[in-house]
Amino acid sequence: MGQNFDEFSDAGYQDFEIEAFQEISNIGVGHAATALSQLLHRRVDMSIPKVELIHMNDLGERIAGTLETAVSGILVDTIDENQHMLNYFLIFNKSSTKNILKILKTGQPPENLKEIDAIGRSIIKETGNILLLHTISAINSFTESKWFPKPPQLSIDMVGAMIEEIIGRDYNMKSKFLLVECDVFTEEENLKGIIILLPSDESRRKLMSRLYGEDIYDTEI
Amino acid sequence: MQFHSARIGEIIVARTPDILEALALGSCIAIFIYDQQIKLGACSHILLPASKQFGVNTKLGKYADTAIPEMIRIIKNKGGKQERFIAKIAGGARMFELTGKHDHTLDVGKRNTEAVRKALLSNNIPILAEDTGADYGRTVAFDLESGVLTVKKALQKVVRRI
Repeated sequence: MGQNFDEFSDAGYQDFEIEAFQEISNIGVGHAATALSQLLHRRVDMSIPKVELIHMNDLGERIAGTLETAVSGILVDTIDENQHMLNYFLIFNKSSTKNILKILKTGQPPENLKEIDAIGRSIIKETGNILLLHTISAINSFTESKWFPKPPQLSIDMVGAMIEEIIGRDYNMKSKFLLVECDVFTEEENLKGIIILLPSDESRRKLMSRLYGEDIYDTEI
Repeated sequence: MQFHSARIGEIIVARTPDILEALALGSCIAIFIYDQQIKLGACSHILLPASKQFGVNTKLGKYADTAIPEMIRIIKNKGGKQERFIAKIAGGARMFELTGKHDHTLDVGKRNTEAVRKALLSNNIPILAEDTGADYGRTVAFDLESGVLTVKKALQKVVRRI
């Protein structure tokens, strides 16, 4: 796929794992776009999702330009029957946040994201939740697994501050993150969503063994 | 005058007239230790409260309990005296609302704040000012000439000088 796999290997992700995540993202994001189309009542086109591996120090700049840029972030934690975590973090940039409000809420969205009222915040949270839940259910059925989602958590603030908290919550986090970027277009609006996949080591191994067979880690290395 | 920015896990040190800063603090804490007489200070941007569960520790600036002794060592090396040290701290927010039962282990910001206070206290460094907790991100800058810490709550455009 023209990816630079050398870059991936030093984070502890192997080629076949990246390929699997690319495939998983294609399926997940496709379902999410369908859900969005139903929610917005309009035709929706999407780009092919791009999977990238980004170092945590560069994540903020990569997503939003600077660490201090205001974005909305929706975090959904999922957990399987063995308490293994697979978390999803969805980010809408400022213009996408405003576009969602423009479509789903009457009146002009406020210039400053901090001035979004409670109803607006709820709309953003639920839109993110619907997209992520469809992604999760697609991944669950594709990999024949059961990751149960927890309630969504919303933050509208500086992108760097959110990423910090996510890194801080999980001690076993790798220093590099898998980032899935996807553009969704309607006729008038452009929505850009970025999903960051946060699998625990056990969840990553489970996903891979479901896709490639139980002995994948015995034979590949 | 130059700006020195501490990223996650970094400890930086500078002398007047420079400015130490940390961008977009969430649950992390920026700790500033300052020697007023020689106008020299250090800033660390810590991520987690304690290093003990990690075995070999390569990045001292990442944890509250290792960053503070390291900062003291660095400032002393540059001519600081521990009895003149003062500290100012900012950060430790909770960016995402925690639903359901309040889970203390997920509230990293609060645990960071407690760990930093404890570590500074045990080293006899007074905390002259702090802006911690709440639910918003902060950007902070410490002026090594005046010793004033400027806290910017970026989205709200509120600036506080402490």
